[in-house]
Amino acid sequence: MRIILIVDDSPTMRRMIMASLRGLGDVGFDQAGSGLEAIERLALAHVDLVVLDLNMPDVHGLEVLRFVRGHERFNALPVVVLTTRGDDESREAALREGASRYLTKPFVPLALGSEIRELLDAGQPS
Amino acid sequence: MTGGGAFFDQFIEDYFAECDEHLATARRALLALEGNAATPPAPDILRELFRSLHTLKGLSGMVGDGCAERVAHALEEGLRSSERTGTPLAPRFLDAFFAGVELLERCIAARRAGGSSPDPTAVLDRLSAAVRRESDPLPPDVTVPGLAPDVEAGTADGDVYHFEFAPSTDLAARGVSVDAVRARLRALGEIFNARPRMEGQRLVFDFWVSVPAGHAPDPAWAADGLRWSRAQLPSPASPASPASLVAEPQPAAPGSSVARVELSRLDAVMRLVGDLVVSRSLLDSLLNSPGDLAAVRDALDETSAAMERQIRQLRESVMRIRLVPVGEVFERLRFAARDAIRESGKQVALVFHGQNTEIDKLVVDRMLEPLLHLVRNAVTHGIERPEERLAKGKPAQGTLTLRAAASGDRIRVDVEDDGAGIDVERVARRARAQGLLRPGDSLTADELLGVLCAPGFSTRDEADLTSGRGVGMDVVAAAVRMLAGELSLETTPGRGTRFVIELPLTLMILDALLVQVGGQQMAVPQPALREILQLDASTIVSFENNEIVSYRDGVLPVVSLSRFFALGTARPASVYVLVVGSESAPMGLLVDRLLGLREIVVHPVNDPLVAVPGVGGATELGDGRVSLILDTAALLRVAHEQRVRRGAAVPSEPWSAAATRSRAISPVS
Repeated sequence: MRIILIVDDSPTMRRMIMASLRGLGDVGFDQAGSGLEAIERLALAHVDLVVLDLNMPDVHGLEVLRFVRGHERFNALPVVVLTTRGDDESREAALREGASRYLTKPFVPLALGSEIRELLDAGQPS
Repeated sequence: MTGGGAFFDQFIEDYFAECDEHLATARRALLALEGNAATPPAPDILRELFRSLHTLKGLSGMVGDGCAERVAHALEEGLRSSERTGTPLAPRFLDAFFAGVELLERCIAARRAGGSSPDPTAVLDRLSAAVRRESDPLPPDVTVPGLAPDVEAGTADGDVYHFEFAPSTDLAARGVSVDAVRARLRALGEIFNARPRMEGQRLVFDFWVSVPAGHAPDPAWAADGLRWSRAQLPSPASPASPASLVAEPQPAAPGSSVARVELSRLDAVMRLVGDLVVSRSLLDSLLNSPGDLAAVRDALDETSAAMERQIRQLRESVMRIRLVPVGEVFERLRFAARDAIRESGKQVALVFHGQNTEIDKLVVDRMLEPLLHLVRNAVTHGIERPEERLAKGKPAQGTLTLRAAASGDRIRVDVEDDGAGIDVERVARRARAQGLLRPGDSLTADELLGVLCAPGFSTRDEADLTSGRGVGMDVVAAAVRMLAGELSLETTPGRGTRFVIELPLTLMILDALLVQVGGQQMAVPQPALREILQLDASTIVSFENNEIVSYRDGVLPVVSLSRFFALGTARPASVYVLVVGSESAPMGLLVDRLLGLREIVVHPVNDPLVAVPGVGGATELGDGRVSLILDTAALLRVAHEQRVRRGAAVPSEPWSAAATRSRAISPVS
């Protein structure tokens, strides 16, 4: 089973994302509602892919991304930035910091699923 | 828009609950900004407001609420541009923002009620005009609110501590996560910096916390992976380390949501569920005991009584989960009062007491409208203009006090002003003119409220009648009655007026079918209904003093409710049978007419002198009429006993289904 860490400060949004990805089949979910919590989950549990929101109460998503890319242990982890449409200026910043994909909300469940399927398939099976 | 709209409909209730929370946060933030309008806005409040709007926008987009999405986006953009200037917010800007948040709320309410969205154009125009004036155009900025460090906040009195927290799976399993640690540190002082770092393969979080004098970390925290020392502030001059400085927002006052429950309350529920499981296994073993069941009858009775008690306690515990602090309603009232005060040109101070008093979430939502009326009325009609007050020797600023307090299983909310009071004689004159009072009669204090709350009583056309309270009072009275509450009034000329609303702490609200029986209206809880049949009265067969109709492949015993409650025996040609009871032992309740499904508030009938078997309570229908709520389980029990007494067990032979013809209208369950 591949584990996807969903990072978003809105619990409803986390549930929406998980419901959209359940169709991928053999996946499990871990959740974090803040940037620090996301980093803690990454350090403590096995994660195959991160879906990352940008605007969060404590640590901005870009900082989480910077932390992931800055440490060898998490370096190769696919990170999908999923942020609310309208922050277009952050697309460039996210891709510069090493986001694997930059997607916006509102999203179409099937489209999100296929992007993530592609990233999971590209990595080694765990 | 989005291709996922219908898919995300399954989250619509979550959406509404979370919107409520963010709207409350936004309102609180705006009021805080307004309260300190002379200084540049506090960054943490702006950040909180920004994030609430941002989340509202994101979620609204997901569920395809275009109106809310647009408005939240406009507010967010406005805030973004104003943040760049760093100057105090102009009143015009704040006003536009208040209007925007109010519109956002209406968009979401419209979606909730299934109505059409309000037209946002005017408010959006006003907002963009205010923003244009407020800020110079600047190039788009990559810095998003939330990144800006707020280091000065740490240099207050007291000590600065540096905490290190090394998370581990063991600690996380014990509930000691970085969020839990952060909550502890927040309770201790103000976190002004938090950052993660890797020590080899190990993750460590650094927190810098300014701790007020006289407070210190709990030594027991050392067992939870925490280490600490007194520290120097990290130099504000070098904040650009890649792992970031993190500004911690002030912990928000607890918002209210259906989803947020204190653990201790859930524990109480779990304990009761445990008790029920034990009772059930006891029941099981009794049922499986060898020999005659009659031998264990006493034990069965006892277990049944225990389960009844446990279920009642469980119900009470679940009710407690629904309690929320009334303070959130008060904040919304402050929000609404603001407009009324501004329009009236009066000076009014709002004072709140007892914000932490808890009340059923259902009651809170339904109380808002009547309280809004009372607050607006107090501002518009109760409190005098400043010059008038000064002339009377009162301070120019009036005071409007909202007070909540719980007593027993009731809650009392006072809305009190120190205004002119109600001029009873003028109200009486008006009431006589409108035919509500006989000429020559005067009003007693008790009758005054009745007249004010009479539908149609209005003082609207007498602009100078400062004490007039007629506007919307009938709405207030109806809403309070609907909630099984009581409204009362005290007024002293020249000193002020106090309205008191007393309400039950918790409410039972259920969907019910309203029916007519012998000219009376009654409500049948919808979950009790299995099916509804319509048939000719002539097809009801009398059988040894009991009545039956054919049903499916057999017969269905029916109880005439009009006979049961002795309301007469006249029966229309076409009647309805409500099928209730269990699958194996259904029973029909005969009614004259169906009046429709309604959401009703249950008022329990506690007075033993009034209690009638088969009646579970009463409900107020909003037009002042009272309707009895049937307790179908009790009704079945009583009807069965009567049947047995009359010596007519239901025949075991199936009757010919052709003997009567019935038509199933709707399988209700």
